[in-house]
Formats: sequence, C-alpha cells, structure tokens
Amino acid sequence: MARIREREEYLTDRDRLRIKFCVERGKVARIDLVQYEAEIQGRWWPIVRYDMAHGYLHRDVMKPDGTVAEKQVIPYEDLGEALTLARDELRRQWLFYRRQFEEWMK
Amino acid sequence: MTVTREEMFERNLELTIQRLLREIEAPEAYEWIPENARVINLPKDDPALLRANLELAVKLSQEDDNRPIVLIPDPGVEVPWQVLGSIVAGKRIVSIESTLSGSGFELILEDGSRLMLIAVSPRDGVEKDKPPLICVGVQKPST
Repeated sequence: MARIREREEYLTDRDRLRIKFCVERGKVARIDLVQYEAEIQGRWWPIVRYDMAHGYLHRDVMKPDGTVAEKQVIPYEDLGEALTLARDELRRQWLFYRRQFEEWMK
Repeated sequence: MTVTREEMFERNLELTIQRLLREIEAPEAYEWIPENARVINLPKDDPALLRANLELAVKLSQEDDNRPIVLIPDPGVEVPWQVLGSIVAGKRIVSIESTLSGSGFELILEDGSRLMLIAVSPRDGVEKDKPPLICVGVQKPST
C-alpha cells in the first residue's frame, strides 16, 4: 500500500523545505515535492518548487500571486541524483530566489 | 562562535539532503517520524550550528503550533541529555521532569514552555548502530 509522507525541514527560522514523498512496499517510490519556503512579512511562501514526476526534475519559480514565473525541466537518472541536483541549485540560488520574491511583493 | 543565516541555511541544507538520501535507501529507519513534523538537524562536529538549531527548536516550540518538532542527530552523534539541556539553557531550564509515561523527559524553561524529549529506542528493522532518535513534542504553558 502506498503511503504519502510529508514534513517540513527547517534550515533557519525563516527558511524551510517542504518534503513530500511516497513509500510503497517499503521503498521510496517517488518524491512528489521538494519546496523551498521562506517566511516573509510574517507568512510562509513557496519560493521554488521541485517535483520529480515522469522521469524529469521540474523546477518552478513561484510568484507571490501563486503563479509560476519560470519553469525548467532537468533530466535525472534516479531519486538520489534528483535530490542532489535540487540541493546544488538551491545552494547556489536560494538567496537570489528569495530576494527576487521579496522584490515582486513590493 | 555563531553562524550566519546563510551558513545555517547551507549547512542544514546539506544535512537534510544527506539524511533524505539515507532515507531513500532505508525508509523503514525513519518511519517513526510523525506525519507533518517539523524537523531540525542535530549536526556532528559543528557546535555553533548545533546551538543555533537548538535555539531554533526552542523558538518553534513557542509558536502557536501543535505539530511535533523532531530533532534528528547526524549519524555518529551522541547527544547526552546534559549537553542538550545546557544548550537549550539559552532559555534557562527551570527543571527537568520525567514524563508521565516514563519514556522521556520534559525540560521546563523559564518562560513556562516545555520541551518534551523522547528517546526512541532502536526497533525491529532499525540497525543497532544507528544513532538514537529524539522526538520533541511541545506543551504550551498554561495561562
């Protein structure tokens, strides 16, 4: 039986990852979501969303109105590689994404 | 020694992804993590980040949010209760009490908030050399 697991991974008091994945027959079958969320003006906002459906890593850069500002599709071999790709991209760009989002809120 | 917010983000990002990679390999080892938990890392060999993360745990415990907070030590980390207590003492600990069930401890902080620490013992399907896992629940001070 498939089971969806979801949690928040705190990186700082104003930055976190929302993780959602599916466990089936004792194995992680897929990762549905790795979402970088930031607390801005007292509210948590999705800033960048990675999902790993259909064999591709989809990266959506989110806008304050909930629409997607930018979409990118990155091929990956396995779940581990998808996670490390998301990590590498976030490590390079998280501050840029956050500041860009704050600019859009003005 | 302190960590900047940028350093805290990047080091915790690495710890989180490394743990998720381990979880992909052995999801049963992390089944105990409650659904919708708020997870904080307890790093190895990084006392400044350990302190910052425990302060973050205290801060989250004071929010109006009843979802469990889970502290997960990095592999190889032994987290003595005394050390954990003294670091949490950034908020002074008034007392430490056993929980009613006897399975853990509650740290009572000076502002009246309580951090409930429950050591989760290795169970079937979890390797004995894995670090102890610590689940932190929160009780709000009564007003």
